[in-house]
Amino acid sequence: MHRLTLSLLLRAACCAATSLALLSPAAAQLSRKESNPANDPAWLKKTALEIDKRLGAAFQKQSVRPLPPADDSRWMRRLYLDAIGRIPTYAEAKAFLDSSAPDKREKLVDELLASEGYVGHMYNYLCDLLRATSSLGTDGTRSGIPYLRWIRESVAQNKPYDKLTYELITTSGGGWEPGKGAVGYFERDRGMPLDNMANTTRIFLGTHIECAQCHDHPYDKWKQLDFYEMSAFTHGLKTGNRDARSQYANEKYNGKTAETDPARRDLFRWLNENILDFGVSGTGTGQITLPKDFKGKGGKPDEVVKARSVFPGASSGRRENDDARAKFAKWMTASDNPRFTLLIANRMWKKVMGIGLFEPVDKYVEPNKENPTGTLVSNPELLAYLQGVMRELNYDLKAFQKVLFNTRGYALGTNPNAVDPRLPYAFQGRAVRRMSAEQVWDSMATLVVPDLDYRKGRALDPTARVYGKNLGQNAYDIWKELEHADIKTLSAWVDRIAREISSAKGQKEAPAAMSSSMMAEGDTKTASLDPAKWAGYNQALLRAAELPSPTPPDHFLRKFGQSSREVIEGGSSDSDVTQVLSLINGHVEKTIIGDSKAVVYQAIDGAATPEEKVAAAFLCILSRPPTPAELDLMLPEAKKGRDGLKNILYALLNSNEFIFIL
Amino acid sequence: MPFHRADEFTRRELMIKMAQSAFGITLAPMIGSSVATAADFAPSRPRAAKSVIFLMMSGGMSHLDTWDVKPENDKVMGDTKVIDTSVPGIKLSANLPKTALQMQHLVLMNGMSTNQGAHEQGQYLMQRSYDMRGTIVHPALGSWVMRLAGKRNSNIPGFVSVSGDPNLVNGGYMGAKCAGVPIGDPNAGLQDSTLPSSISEADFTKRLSLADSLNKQFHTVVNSPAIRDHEGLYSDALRIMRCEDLKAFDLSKEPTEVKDTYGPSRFAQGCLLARRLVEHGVRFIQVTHGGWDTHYDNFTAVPARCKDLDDGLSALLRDLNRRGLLQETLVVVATEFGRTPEIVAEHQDGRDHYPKAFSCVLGGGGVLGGQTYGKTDPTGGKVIENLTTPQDLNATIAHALGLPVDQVIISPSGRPFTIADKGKPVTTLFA
Repeated sequence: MHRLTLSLLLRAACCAATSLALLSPAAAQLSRKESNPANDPAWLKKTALEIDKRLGAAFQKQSVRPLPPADDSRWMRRLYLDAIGRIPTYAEAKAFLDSSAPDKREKLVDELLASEGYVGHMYNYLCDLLRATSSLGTDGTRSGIPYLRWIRESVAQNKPYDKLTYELITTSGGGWEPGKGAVGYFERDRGMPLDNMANTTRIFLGTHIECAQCHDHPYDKWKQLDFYEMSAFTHGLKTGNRDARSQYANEKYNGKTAETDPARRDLFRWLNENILDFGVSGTGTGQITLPKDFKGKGGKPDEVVKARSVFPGASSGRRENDDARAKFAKWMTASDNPRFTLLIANRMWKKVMGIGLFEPVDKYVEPNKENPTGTLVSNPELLAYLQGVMRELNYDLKAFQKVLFNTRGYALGTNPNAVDPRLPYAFQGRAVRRMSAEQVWDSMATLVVPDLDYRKGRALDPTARVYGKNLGQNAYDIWKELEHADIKTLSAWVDRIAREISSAKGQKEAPAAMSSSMMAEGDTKTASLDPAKWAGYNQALLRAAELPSPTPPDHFLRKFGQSSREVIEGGSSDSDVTQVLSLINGHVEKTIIGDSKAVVYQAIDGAATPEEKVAAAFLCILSRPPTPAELDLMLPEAKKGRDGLKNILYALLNSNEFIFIL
Repeated sequence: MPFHRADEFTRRELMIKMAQSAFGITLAPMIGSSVATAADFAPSRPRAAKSVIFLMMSGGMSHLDTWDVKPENDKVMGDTKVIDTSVPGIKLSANLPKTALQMQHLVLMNGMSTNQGAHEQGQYLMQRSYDMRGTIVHPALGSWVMRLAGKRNSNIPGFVSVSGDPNLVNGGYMGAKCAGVPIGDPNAGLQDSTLPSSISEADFTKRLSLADSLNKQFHTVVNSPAIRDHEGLYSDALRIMRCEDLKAFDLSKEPTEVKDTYGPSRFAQGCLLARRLVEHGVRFIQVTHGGWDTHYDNFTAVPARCKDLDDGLSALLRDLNRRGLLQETLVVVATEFGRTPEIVAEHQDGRDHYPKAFSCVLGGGGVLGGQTYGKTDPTGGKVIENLTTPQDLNATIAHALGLPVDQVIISPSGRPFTIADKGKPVTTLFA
């Protein structure tokens, strides 16, 4: 199977799709291997070698010479940024570089993938992919926190990607119902079910079908009818729940009988938007009525059509109790779906290697009349092999990344020239790219705050807050308490909370970092650390994964290109002049160099001689020792004392080598 | 222009040269190769406006209590009184007494109508000419203007947004290069544009020259356009820091008596900043004035909002006119929708969202002032003449600037778009 070319593989997959789509998820679960092959060193070695062989074949075929391998410090810095999203600390860098263990690279991969840093970094990646936000809906009143927590927990459990996807598409329940956070996927796009389907096909199937929402696709084969037949799978699911209780609560802040007391109005609003009218129900009817202005081929305005997948394999509709959503999810996540494995294997390749085997990673076009070549794939044999690995690993994304981090291909030196991601690439060396906004922010914070990865923020805190007021209660518990409450009970709840809020007036909120409720959630690693260790450290410096998703528009992260999470993978690594102003006059000076408590100073102060101080600064910021020429350049400054050392830190942070990953 | 551009240019060049030799940084080609430069741009009509000041009344400005008054209909007017203006036959709300004296410069667009009744969707449509989608972010109007017309002054940003949500002025698929540069407080100036007091000039020079030395060695390892672009931005940042035009962002340079004519509110000071930016060749300035969502207590809230609008707008029009800039500067007052003719007594006489009919205003920029365009019925509830959509308004703004409303830009995802979608410019408003 692995030796098949991509096109053969796809053809075989298409034919087999129908039969396998009928497998129940339970059966699919049973067929999973009990043990993870990535834990077997022999398997890992063999698989990494197979990947390297395919890279080698491409070098030969294209007559390119691979770059000499990266040295330890460059490989280490690259791995830290790719695996956990920040540069290594002084101690981490020193420990790795000083070690003479022959297997220190394999060990570091294991260590980083098992760390809290990996969870946050992967969480950022998924939030970007799924457009997950801290508040849901265009008016932003419903909380996105249960959805974010579900994503975070899924990463922490290393939930297989097919299972994660299946849950996103099929989950029903209340927004704050325990374990049902995945409903955020549809709640995110309330009122825009067609856009939601367009995003689903783009994320998981690599197909841009959004044009076909309004007309037949001008440059691809998709017809408007295809779009509606796909949308029929999820059509009929309901976001929110406008029942009598919800209408009552709505009246109390929006209607003619609205409460006159603003606090009570706010409480009714919160109650409605976060508990009563929040969640997903319905299984999908499997049919949809074409719009009045339908103008595509094969259908008529107002015609009712059945669900049918864009690639053969699934259909549904016009039956009682026909769980169209589940059918769709089963088909989409089946290991032989022609696109699902292809897409995620290529995405993970890009995440580790910097460039996808095809780009953009959410667009794969088979050759067709309008586009005779179809998508250009850099190394089709490798892409086919990677799909096999992904299947063998049962969509364990962490294990998949582990395989790639262990390849010699990953450890190659840096390509000195620019690489155009749109053109096929042999991967003879690493393509340079600017750090993502999250990597810049997290790396800078690493220089200031100790044990940064474990410092928790409030972005995932489930404590109910009504327009800034802390209700002192977990929103999951409020959901449980009020799930079936009648109108009288709801009113009594508002009465009680309003009283509590007014009597608690004047009490200050706990500081942003280290909320007690997060610790009570059972994160033992957090709980075992002493929060006092962060006393006095800049409270704003938390990892990006601990901040709201996305951060406010004027935040450093947004300035450096963090996605607004409005569109799929909307982040940008483009530089602009406001970023540079921040690097020379703002953030670098004010939050790093100007903070005498910053850990970077501890490393430098721990060094005895000016030479050692320069070396410490280089290790902290560039993860490598200075060259003799660089040492000469910096020594006069180091000899000046603190002010000169500040000049060195500033120069290193403003150097290209800091912000570009080699 | 009130000052000599040629002299200004020479002086500026000199400053940049000095900065560069001091910092040992080579001058990279201008940033934003995807942004047109003024030199590339030829307006499609003579005497086209050169800049736009876009005043966004966010929250949904009540049309009846401002521009579209119904003196015959007390029922819809509530407590709002009506006054005469400098143009016979045109009346305005008594909430706008100073603006009423500038009516000869203004066109009241009283036939506005939108299909979006929620704030975010309504603002999105008003500013981006397309419905909000989950699959793409369309560029803001200012981003389109940057893309099609480019900067007038290459030293400073060409699109600036004062007091608004930066989200509303992002470049969408056109990216950061076409995005509005946000200014939170008009009195605070451009963020990070001056050297912090903790860094001496000497240390700053030292630091940048050290970084430059590191970069020179870095180039022997790797070189790519992205890295060169990034490095080139350091020259641009220094240029901003050192250029004469930076003072455009500094309201403290404005005489007190001028500041006073604008009034103390953040919005009015934003209008003053907009005038300074126009003088220095900024292409598109957006100033946001929030708080128009008057569901409750409309007849207290609207006059309070109007006070700041009236102060800022009237001073801006007078000031631009006195400096000879009004002809080349289009002033727009826009909002996402209007408010109901019905007054909700239960909400202390509030008004709810009303997308079906509302008002926007155009002034300067070559429009023939002293007229109204579009008309609602005697209740202010329905457009009965010259219905104008947000897309039409944006097409009209594009027309004022001499921009091609039919020029197609393909997004990176391969979809075709135009500056005002299918909007039609109201060309009859111009001389």
